[in-house]
Amino acid sequence: MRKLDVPSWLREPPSWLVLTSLLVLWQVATWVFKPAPFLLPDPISVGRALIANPTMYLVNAYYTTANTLIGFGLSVIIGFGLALGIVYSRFLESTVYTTLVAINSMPKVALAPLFVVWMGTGNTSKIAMAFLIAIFAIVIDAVLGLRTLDTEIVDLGRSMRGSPLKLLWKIRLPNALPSLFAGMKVAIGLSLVGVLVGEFVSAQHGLGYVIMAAQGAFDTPRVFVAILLLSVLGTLLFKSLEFIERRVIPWHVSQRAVSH
Amino acid sequence: MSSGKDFGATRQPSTSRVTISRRAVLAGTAATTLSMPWVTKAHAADKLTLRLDFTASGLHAPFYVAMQKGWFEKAGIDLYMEDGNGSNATVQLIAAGSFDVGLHSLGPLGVARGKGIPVVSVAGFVRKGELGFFVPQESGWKTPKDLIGKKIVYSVTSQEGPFVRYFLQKNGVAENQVELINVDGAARYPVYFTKQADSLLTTVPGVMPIAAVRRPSSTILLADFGLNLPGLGMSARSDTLEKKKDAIRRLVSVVCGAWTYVLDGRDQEGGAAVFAKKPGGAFTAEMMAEQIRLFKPFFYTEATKSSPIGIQSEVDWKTTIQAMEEAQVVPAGTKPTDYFTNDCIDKTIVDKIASNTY
Repeated sequence: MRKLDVPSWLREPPSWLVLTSLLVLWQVATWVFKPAPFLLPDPISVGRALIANPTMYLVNAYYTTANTLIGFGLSVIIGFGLALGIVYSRFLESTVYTTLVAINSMPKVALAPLFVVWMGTGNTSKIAMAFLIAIFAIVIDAVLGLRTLDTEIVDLGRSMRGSPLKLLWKIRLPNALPSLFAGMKVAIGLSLVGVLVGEFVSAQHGLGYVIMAAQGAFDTPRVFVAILLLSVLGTLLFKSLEFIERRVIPWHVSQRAVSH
Repeated sequence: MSSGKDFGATRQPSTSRVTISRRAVLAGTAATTLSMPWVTKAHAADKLTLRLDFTASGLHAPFYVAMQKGWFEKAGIDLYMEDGNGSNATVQLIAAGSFDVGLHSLGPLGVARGKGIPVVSVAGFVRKGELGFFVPQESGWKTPKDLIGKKIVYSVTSQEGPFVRYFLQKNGVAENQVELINVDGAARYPVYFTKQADSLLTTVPGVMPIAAVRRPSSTILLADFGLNLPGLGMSARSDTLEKKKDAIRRLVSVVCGAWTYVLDGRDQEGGAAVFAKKPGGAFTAEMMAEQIRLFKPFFYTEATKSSPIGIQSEVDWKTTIQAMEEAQVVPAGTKPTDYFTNDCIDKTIVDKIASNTY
């Protein structure tokens, strides 16, 4: 039987084509169903709103990005430190790990108004929110990566008189990196969500603030511009981490599969 | 012969006589009645859904008093009422058709209507703008200019959001002369009460009972310095109003009557009625009664001082539209009648309820 000759762009459509098709579909849907613009504006109106004031969106996107990266960075540094402690100390495992699980079960969004009272209305409360939401993913994946180790390799390292620090640096850490990156890719999105939650409660800048201000003025196209920029920002942050991952662990099976 | 457990007609084979139990007759009658919609319709109450502005407060007293007294039932209204999370959200839900009627500040309605969103105010209760700056009692600040160099907490999503910069500028305070801190919803109150801000912009009579306990304050009213935004009122979407005008008219009239009843020295009864149905909220029954007392002076403007509660004035709306145009939150060229109607108030119902003879 003759195989159907499907062009490659249809078999594996590039992401830009998928996104463009979605935009076209959205525009056609608004022409056909004519929803009220305050409920669902068409992409052209959203585009116009962006073009009308691009600098304002860029400045606000800068605040959101900066707070996300700081919150994320702190969650990686402190989260990895905690993971090391949990792996090497039974005491920390039974105290810190349990506490983290308990904190993670809390509705963290409900803490956001309290953070404003405790930490003020500036950037600190947003960074804290990003940190709190993201750290759990880092700790869980880092602990998993540090623990998932062939005991024979550890024994080999010890037989070669490797110090605990050298074992960590040469064996445990490289072995944990794939898991750590997996956790970081989850955490970067969560950090962005955390900053947004903070900005929804109190902010003078940021894309969350733009959304709230636009809602207050019933300016739905402006809300959509901010939401679309957030999704672009989230994608860029995720892709940046993937890029770094490819450079740091090119030897890992997941990266070899990507390069094929 | 039919046994006592018969639920329907039973044919007796021996005599071919049909015996029908009393229950079967009743059930049959009920079923026949139910199958005739014109019969049930004559007795069924009109179902209406209502979204409030916030969680329980003294401003909801007329609804709870009307429920206690059975006034909605008497008016043929079967009301489903839901607490809200801000006037803007309520206006949006009304505009989306999720609720028939809304109770909220009419300022956001003005902004929405000016942008072509088809929502119309059907009653105005708090007709004098109740927005104001809370300032520490000992500060001695009395005018907007006294706020220069101060930290002001407000909410960008609340009714004051689109107007705060315009108001300050109009009163000679440039944006860079004050520090505006946006904090959403109820989270802004503790920011002021814990002295992280020098001033709080919000609804004065609504928050005063809490401020009196947490941070004794005096206020600078926006209405006293040239910005009279309409306060609490009711709204409906234009097409909903067309379809359900009769029912909405009865509902609005009951509420207007209940307001008149409550404001006639029955603030304690009003506060108690809300608290009986909604205990455990932000306010005690006494605080809600206090809110009613504090709101009372805001029910009348110069243009409405002799009008019944609920009736809105073209003159007041003209001033509001002018301010909204100056603040660039609505385009130029809209007229007062685009924003409100007084056709939903039946004076007979209002008077009967107000005099407790309904």
